[in-house]
Amino acid sequence: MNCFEARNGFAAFWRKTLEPDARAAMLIHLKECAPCDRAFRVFSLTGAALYSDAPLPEHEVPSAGRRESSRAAGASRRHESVRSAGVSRHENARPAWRALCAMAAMIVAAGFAAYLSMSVPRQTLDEAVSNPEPAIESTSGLIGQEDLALNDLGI
Amino acid sequence: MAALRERLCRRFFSDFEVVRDLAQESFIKAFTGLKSYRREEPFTAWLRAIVVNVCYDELRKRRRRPEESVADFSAPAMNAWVDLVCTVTPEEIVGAAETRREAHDLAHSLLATLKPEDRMVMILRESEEMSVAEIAETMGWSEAKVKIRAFRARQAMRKHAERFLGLRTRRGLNELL
Repeated sequence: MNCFEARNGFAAFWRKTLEPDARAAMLIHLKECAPCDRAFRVFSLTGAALYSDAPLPEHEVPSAGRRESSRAAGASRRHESVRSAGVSRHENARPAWRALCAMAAMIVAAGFAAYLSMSVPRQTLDEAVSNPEPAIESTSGLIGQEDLALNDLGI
Repeated sequence: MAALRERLCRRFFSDFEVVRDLAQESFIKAFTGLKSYRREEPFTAWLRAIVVNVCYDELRKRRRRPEESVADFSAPAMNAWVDLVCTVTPEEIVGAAETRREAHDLAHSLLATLKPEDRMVMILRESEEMSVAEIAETMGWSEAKVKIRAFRARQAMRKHAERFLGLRTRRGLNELL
């Protein structure tokens, strides 16, 4: 058996459908040919999924986390299966829009806060405490001054 | 027919719950779509096309939700299986793979690194031994696309497996030294 024949027979060897003579020849070739031996080991990493017809061996005691997660995944899939594809796509997209809206709101709020913080106070706290509030002038005085101004204009 | 559905779904997914759910979903689809069945074509091929398409939809859904398809290559059981593959004879590997669940888990994890289209072609071609024309008809693709996908899938699969095995061998050598 040469390398080409050996590599073509990997799947049959895995499935145990090779003739006894061919099987023996394959084993001898794999023992003598290091590249083919390595190729078979690479092949065997995926062989269990691709070439095994036997049912999957179950774990005797599956871990609680795995059981719970698979149950949750199954439940969510069952829930999704009763919805239409359109609804499913819409619901998948919603969290992204929510996040974008929240981000935009945060940017606006941060900008507003920054704008307010930019207004410079007219006096310090000490000045505000030490200087009393200026007295408000009486409105009558203002009215008198207005009258004087009108007299100056000759009205 | 139930055996066919479960066997096909098992090719794509290793989780029992997922396999049962998909087999059931494909039964419902087949039952509700019985009107689309034409008597001149074989029933098995029609049912297989339904199951394959249900599995393909599930693969694509999982691709959009990567958190569900993250492969954990660091599980101790998987590492033990790879150690075994590196050390024992080819005959012992074949015998052990039938009884060890981690062999299936690792193989499915490696397959999960492929794109859904590549994985479909790989499984239908290698596991189901379907011809290029049959795959093209089942998936509604051109034969050229199937051939290209099959080539790329094999390349990617070999690359992933060799890298994985290479890493393990190097680690083993480092431990020995």
